[in-house]
Amino acid sequence: MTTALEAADLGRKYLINWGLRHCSFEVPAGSIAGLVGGNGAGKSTLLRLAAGVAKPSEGSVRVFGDSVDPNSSAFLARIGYLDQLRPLYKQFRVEEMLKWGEKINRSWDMANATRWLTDLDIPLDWKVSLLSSGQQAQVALAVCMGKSSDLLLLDEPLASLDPLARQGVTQMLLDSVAEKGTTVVLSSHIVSELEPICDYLIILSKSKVQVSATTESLLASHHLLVGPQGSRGFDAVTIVSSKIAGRQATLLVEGDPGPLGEDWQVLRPSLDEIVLAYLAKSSSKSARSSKVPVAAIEGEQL
Amino acid sequence: MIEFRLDRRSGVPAYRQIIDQVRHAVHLGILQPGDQLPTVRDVVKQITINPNTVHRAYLELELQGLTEGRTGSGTFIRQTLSEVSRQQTKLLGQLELWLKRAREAGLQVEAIEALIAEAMHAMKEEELL
Amino acid sequence: MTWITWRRYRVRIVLLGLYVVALVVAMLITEHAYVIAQHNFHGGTAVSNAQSNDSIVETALALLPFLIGLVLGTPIVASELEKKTNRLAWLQGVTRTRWLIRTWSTLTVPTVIVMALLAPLVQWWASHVVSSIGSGGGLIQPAQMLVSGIAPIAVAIFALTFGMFVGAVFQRFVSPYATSVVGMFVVMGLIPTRVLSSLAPKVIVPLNSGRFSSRALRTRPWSITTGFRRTPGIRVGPHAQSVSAAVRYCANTIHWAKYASPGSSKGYWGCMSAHGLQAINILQPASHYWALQWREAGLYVALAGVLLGLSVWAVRSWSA
Repeated sequence: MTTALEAADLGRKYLINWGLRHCSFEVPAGSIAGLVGGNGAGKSTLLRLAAGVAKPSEGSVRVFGDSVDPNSSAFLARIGYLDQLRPLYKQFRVEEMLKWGEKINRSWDMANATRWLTDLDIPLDWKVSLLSSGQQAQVALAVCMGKSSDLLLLDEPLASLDPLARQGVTQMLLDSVAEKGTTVVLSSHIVSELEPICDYLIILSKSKVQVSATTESLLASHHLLVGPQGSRGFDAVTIVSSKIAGRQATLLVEGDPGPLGEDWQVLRPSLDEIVLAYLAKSSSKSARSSKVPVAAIEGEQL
Repeated sequence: MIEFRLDRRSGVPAYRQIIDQVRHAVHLGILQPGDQLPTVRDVVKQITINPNTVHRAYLELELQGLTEGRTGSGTFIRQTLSEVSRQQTKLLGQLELWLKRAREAGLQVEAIEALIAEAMHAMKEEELL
Repeated sequence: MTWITWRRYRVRIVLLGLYVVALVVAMLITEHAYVIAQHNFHGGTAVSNAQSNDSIVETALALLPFLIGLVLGTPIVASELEKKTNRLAWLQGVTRTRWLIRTWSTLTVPTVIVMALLAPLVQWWASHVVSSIGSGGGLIQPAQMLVSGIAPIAVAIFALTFGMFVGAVFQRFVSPYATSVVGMFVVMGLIPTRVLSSLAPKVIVPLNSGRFSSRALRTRPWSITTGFRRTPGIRVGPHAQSVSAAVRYCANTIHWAKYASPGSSKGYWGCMSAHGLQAINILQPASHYWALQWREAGLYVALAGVLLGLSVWAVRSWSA
């Protein structure tokens, strides 16, 4: 299994603040990886480092095994990058934007790019500046994907889009992946957008990678335990988060808790709940250690 | 041509739902031997789903002997889907339903395995097996 | 990249083209008016009117490289950085180096062609016109040197490249457009005044010697500066230790009496020549015109080359 994108202790400093620090993960080739975290978590920084738009301050990042070199045409040919700002030449007509893509790239899929946009009812002879922001986002993505790259790095491609535009963008993306087997890394701060399409997840918080794993293993290895607060400890699992409401405790744990008895419910958490738990965990003031009995964290607030 | 639907709230993984829907369709006769399953690209147009998930489902269907892939053409329901394998498919569906019920009743994996072992033992005793 | 550059720059290119066309038309009109004025009136207000129109055209000609730098050069990188479209353009199939050089050459080649076609026209026009900058100046005057001959081609290349360089390097704190104008002004002001005169060996003649002086524009020399030259050996008194000391001494009217014949006002000169100091004119004769042109052009092109290299380096090192 080839690794499309690999980071090892990656970090980037902006003047005095670290936008990203100690980040390590491996995205398998052919997967759709979601990069999730709050605003300022470091998602854009990570994607920019992967695309070569920014230079790492420490650590390394590799694309298909080769180091990221924005001045190498071999590297540039393999990646497609969509910046958060979704830049376009606003004075160009949509078809001119596609023609631009054709002229500046060695390999260009004009047929698909045109079809994606006409399927979304985007008028090709209109100036980009006349389109709605949702339509502009779709054009920007079409230009990005027309390049036929092996790795797509998309910075919040679904942000601020109306539901129809979001659906259109998602459709374009999935169609491209279905046809070409592209690896996609896309960021979002809305987990529900990523859940249907991602098979790999990287959770970023406070400029660090909290978790990176396939969505399947995340869902399989995490459980929601609901039961009476203070009644027992859990040794076999890592407690990610806990909530106390009156006499009831709700714990999100990693690992198989084993048979628990009558008063405990073992539920399957949604991906949303798992992500939220990790994001909350990293922002809490006290450091949590694993294997802490419930009694000891009684009264803890989230 | 089959149209897939995904119930994201059911807790059943997406690839499982696809497999189940194909088996269900075969069971009901909606899909006949020789019928083509929609291409991954077509499925992705119908439902918002990761193409890898569809690939995986189709692969598993092939491993189960329900379908066969013809390179360049797509995935098709096996022509030689014998009565036995059709029955097998039906039984597998029923077994999965039973397992689901057992789990809902609160049985853990070991308990279920114990139940099955007990039933098989009993059947052997009665020489039904 | 040709289509891309044309499509991005088409309005700017057309505007500049119109400017050049207007220049050509203006040159033809003023030349015609001048010839008529000369023919009919042999001087007077008609001719001076014609001459003042010429100075407008001359200014417009001198503005051309600034416009090239500002309109074609600076936006190459500056417009991309401004709108952040570099995050789009620099992540496609061409490397940043190739992108920059191809854009630059797509704009520079037509510029060179247009300037090369314009040059003979300007030469013809300028040689008939008396320069309004510095009366008595000839074609070899610094202001004329910038505008006539082959220098303008090199100046245009330099201006375009300089604008591009400024646009690539200055973005965060100052306006690249303002910086381009100021920078070009400084360079194109410094070179004619400080550097140009040294590009060919200077000729020294006694002031008012009559040599090299000429009425015809083509053969008039460039009088760089006047000064004094000491005849070796003669030194009269401690006040003549150096040329500047002697100048100071002779400037003092008290000493004139010694050297002047009564009633003559030439005390100063008499004093100076008694000290063996001869007034001289340091100039570039008209015969050096083409030598200076080629070297001036070479200098601008070399500068452009350096700036091109620096621009490539700046663009390659850019990081968000």
